[in-house]
Amino acid sequence: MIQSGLLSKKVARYLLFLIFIAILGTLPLLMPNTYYLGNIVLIGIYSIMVIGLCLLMGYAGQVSLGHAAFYGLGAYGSGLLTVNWGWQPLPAMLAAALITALVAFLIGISTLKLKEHYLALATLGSGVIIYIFFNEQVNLTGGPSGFSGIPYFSIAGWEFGSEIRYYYLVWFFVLLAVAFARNLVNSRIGRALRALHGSELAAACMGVPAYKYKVQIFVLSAVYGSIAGSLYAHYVTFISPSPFGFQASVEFVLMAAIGGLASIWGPILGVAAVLTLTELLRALVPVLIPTAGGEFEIIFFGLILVAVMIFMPEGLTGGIKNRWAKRKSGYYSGKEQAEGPARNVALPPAADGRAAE
Amino acid sequence: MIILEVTGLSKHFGGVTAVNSVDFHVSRGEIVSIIGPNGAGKTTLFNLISGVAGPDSGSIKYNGEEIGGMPPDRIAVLGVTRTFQNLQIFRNMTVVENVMVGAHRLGRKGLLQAGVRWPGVASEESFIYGRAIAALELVGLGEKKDMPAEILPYGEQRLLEIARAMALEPDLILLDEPAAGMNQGETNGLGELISRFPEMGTSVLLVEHNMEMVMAVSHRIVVLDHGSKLAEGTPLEIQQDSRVISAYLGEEVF
Repeated sequence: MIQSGLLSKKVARYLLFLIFIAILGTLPLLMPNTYYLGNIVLIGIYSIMVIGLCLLMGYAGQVSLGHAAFYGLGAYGSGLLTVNWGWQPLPAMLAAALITALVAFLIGISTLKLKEHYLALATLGSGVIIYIFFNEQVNLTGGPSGFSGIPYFSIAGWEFGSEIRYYYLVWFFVLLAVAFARNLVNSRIGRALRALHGSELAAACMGVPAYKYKVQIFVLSAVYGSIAGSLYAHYVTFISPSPFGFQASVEFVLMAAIGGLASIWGPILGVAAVLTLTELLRALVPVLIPTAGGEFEIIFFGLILVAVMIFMPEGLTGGIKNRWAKRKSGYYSGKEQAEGPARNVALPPAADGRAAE
Repeated sequence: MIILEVTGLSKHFGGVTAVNSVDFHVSRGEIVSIIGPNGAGKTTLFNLISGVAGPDSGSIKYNGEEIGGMPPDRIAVLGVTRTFQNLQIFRNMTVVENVMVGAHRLGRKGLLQAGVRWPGVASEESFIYGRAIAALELVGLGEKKDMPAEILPYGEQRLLEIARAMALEPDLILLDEPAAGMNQGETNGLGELISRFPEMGTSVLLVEHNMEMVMAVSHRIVVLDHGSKLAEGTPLEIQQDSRVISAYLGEEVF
């Protein structure tokens, strides 16, 4: 019974994945204009970033409020290497990721001994330092006015110059990011990371080197950010420091939290929700409240974040899963009592859905 | 053959001496219990051996190697693990995933290999899964493998901790009040289970308040009082020791 249940679940997942691929593949053909496609490209780019953040925050339970800096390192690394040194985009992206990994490693080994709020503040500080670096190293980065002329992404002379081509490129990377993250989460290392989140003490007594794995996952999530940053730089072809500051870091955390921290597909949902909402607010707020300034959307996001934390603390994916589980009248309570051995009957009602994966 | 040798071990917290120059040893295949009134220093002793806390002085030798002051994950990798009196279940994971973390040291594949499903990762995963299932069946939780760990009843969470620790294939397991909160039937089952550990290659150091179980399973008992060793001997010797009886004065323990 349980076996077949798992099997059909697996099949269902596989089907869902195929449907997702099919939608992804045909989406550009259905789009009325490139404006929407451009937004979906951005959703893809942010998703890569936020998947990395979810690995760090949702699975390993470590907070980072400075992740936009790694996104920026990827963007600047790719931009500088291609514009100033004439590198090809792909090796430039890899080199930028390597540099970002090194920076994240140095930040990680010095901050990851800290916990919770202290860690949040330390990562925030590191992010600010890198942001200031982008701003002040005018000779290298162009300072606050940024620099332009970044070439489109190309592989072996094949240029991703059109909106549709870039769309496929970015979502190919999103799928890679998802696949890697899924494999990792369902592996020995992934379990060790989740165990750290559950009880660091017990994990250590099971032989899990907490600090080492925290540094590794921190570096990995920074590399996710860097790849996203490179894709961003080659997409917009112009970069300045402003998208890589503290507010961006907070927005990434917001996207992660809304999508559901401990999930792999959640980030995509969270990013899509936040970006769509931003567009809507930009269109709606000036109509409804003509005197409102540009920062108005931040207030909305604050409110939304509070609401999500209260009503769906596991984000949209977790929340939807819970509703689903409740509609199916509780997997654990019902089934186990019917089939489990007599000794096990004394189960709490539970199954409020925290089950998850 | 001595597997664990503790000599002159002390630990102070401010002005309080929690463990005071304690000596004892565990031989391979032995079940040794540590008993004593509340506050005698039993849990502190466990924390020192498992690396959760560092000793102030004295030595803890495991297979001849000094492990005093080592971090817990290194001690665990050497083959010494523990359970916790105040349960430390990974509440965000399923039952079998909890136990698979216990088998962590049996794997070698790292983060990048896991992410790209390098050849060998799948077979290592299934090996770890098999170990975890075997450990769950050992404690009788095999049928609950896919449940979220946090919805298990209290007594079964204790068994889950034991399964998780046994999945590590430890040479020495430290059990911190494993029978707390269990009914008589469960406690008896637990006693039988622990008695089988030595034949699986796992020696046992046990802290437990249930004297019936301690007397039934222990080969040797160490009595602590106010951080110092009061007595040591077989269950029979301990039951007849006048110092032990007076330390427990007023309590009907035996």
